[in-house]
Amino acid sequence: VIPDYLDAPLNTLLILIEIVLLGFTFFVVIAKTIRATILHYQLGALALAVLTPLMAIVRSDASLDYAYLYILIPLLPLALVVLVHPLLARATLLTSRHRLRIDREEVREANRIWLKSSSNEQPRIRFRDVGAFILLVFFSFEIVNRINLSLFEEMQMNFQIIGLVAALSLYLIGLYNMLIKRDIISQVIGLLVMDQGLYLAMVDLVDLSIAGIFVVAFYFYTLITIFVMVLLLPRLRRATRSLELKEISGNSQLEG
Amino acid sequence: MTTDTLKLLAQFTLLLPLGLGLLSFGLLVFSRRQERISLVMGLLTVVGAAIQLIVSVWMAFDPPLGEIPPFTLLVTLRIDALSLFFILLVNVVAFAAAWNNIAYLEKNRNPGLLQHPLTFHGLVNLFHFTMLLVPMVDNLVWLWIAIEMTTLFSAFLVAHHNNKNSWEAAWKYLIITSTGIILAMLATILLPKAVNMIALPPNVMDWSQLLGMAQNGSLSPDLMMLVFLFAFVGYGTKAGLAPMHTWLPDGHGEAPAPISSLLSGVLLKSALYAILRFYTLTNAALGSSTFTSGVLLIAGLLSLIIAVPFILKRNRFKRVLAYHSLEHMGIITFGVAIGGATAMFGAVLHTLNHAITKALMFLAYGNITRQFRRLLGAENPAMQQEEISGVFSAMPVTGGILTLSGLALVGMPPFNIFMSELIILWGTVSRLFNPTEASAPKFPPWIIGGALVVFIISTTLIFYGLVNHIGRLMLGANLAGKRLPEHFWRDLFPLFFLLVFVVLLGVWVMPPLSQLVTNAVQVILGSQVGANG
Repeated sequence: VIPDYLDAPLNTLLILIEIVLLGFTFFVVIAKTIRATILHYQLGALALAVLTPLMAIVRSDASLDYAYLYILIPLLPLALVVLVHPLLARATLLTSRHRLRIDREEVREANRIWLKSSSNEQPRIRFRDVGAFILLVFFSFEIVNRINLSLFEEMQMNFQIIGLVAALSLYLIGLYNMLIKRDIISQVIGLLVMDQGLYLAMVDLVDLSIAGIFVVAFYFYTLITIFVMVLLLPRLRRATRSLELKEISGNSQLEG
Repeated sequence: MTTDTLKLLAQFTLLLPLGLGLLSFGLLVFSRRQERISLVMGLLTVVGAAIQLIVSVWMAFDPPLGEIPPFTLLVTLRIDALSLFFILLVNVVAFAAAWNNIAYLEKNRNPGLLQHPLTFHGLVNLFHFTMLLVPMVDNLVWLWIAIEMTTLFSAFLVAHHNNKNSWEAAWKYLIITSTGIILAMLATILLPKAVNMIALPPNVMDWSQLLGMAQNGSLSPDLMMLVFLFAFVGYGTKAGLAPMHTWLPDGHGEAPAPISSLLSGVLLKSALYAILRFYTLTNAALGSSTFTSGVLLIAGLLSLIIAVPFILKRNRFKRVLAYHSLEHMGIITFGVAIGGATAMFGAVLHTLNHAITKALMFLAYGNITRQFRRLLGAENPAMQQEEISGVFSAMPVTGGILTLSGLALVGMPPFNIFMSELIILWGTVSRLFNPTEASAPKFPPWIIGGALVVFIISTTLIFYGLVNHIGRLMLGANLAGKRLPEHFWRDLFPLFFLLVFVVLLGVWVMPPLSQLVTNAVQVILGSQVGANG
């Protein structure tokens, strides 16, 4: 059981991690290279892996009934931290020397391909992105404020409110990232950022007594995301020979 | 029907396609080279689908309603009239598509693992399994998982042609529907927050439980409105409703014909089913259906309007058909939104009618392109642009069926779509004269009148558009220059099978079916919850 005198510091700590997570997501949007986008996503996922089990522990007052959740919850973001870079690198290469593995030389080659992507031609910080980021966070804050009254009578702890703001922001920012970035790797990252938002919302809101089924759903969903990266992305890349959306759908018959 | 029989049937219905799918992948591991095995697997799939169809028709005659305790799949299943109706719909189309698969795969010499016939059959069976799971689960998280699984299996089927266009279509399909499905999950996460109870019951995510709570007033109305909006946008993306429909023409246009028929006929409806569940729940919580119906009405009319220009312009025929699905999803949503028992009856019936007719069109057109491509080669410029003409003289029977089903699709009497569209119109007009039906949303007459005008104008324009496309396809110089083969059992049987329903349902909605639809409407209106049928 968590002693009372720890409540306030824990609350502050959780809010801090949530802000750090949002910060990494900001860098995902403004990152200049694909490699930097992936790196900031990974850092965000790491923050999520620390944040979500802590949230579950604090919310349940460290009850041992939910011990299995404390273990299951951080595994998903951690798996993505490890898997995301090699899988995307593999998808970038037209041919691979191994069936499933990827070696260091191949990762370097993928990085070289990414450097040629169109997102590198843009200025370092675009004020449009900064503005959009602030706007979207503010918008999420407004939504949470509106529904707060009916939603969280029991929600005394501020980290939950900020957590919901962060979750909604992650969803919207991920969507924004998908809309503005013109290469498929960044689009996948956008989707993954949206997943992070959903994951955070789940740990933030769902009553822990029914959280098991939701965790199952997320494991399943992540499995699908990994499937996309392992099976679909390399084939799309090989069939179109490009990472740029413009080239993939520019001269395609799929218009109108 | 006793509970034991019901339990047995439900297990059987779910486990048969799952087993066939796993068997197919198992065979793929052990004996990839043998074409005979692929054929046997195809035949097994047809037999499985036929058994499924018989079982679901039997269940429709003697509705086994009620809850089935968790069993082999660890999920609580619950079957009511609405789920039974959707199970029937899935199985009718799946049977015709399974039969067509064999002819489709016959000349498949593509060596890749993902293009292998056994992979195809395996994916089709698993896809069938997930689409049956959707209407059978009671838990809304499981519903989400089931719908997500349909995406997974169908995406690889969309990409089956293994070329640039099909991978791009699969990519768009996965990315756009995943974006939507995340929002649907957010709705599911927020849902238990709407429960005003101190301790949540363990089965709080079950739809039947939630409906009971909503009717007792223990669901917070404000939050339910937000939940409905999220769920609507989320599942609406999968249902192909405008403006989230952008994946639909690509996905349906690039997939193999039998898969297009499943996507358009059944998959869109599975997502619609999820929306309907949230619709009932939200209405019960709000005590009126004006808000939810308003949202549905806007999306329905928008889908109708957006579909028009794309059907009128010169376009590849499969894409025209895909935009037609958008139009018909708009019509169904329109019918549900207008509300009242009559329009709702028409809308539910229209789901079945559209599924059958659209599947028939995709299969018939698939047969035509397959024969022309075999004769002319895939590299022929006319085939690349899919500019086929003179089908009447090349393939008179298939062409005739395609024409009939095309006329049915645009709402010509005496076919099925005409019947359901007429019922929807009837319901709408009667709402104008009798605006105070208890279960219907409270729209002012000018909204209903305006919606009616949009509905009539767009369906008329679409009528012109599709007839134009079919005329170009059927008449004119025979591109093949000779008659092409049409085998009855291999090519034509599934078409005739579906055509029987297209014609029959146009003149007579059989009593077991009309009873089933009436009961399903009662479920949607929230007046029938339990197992008493």
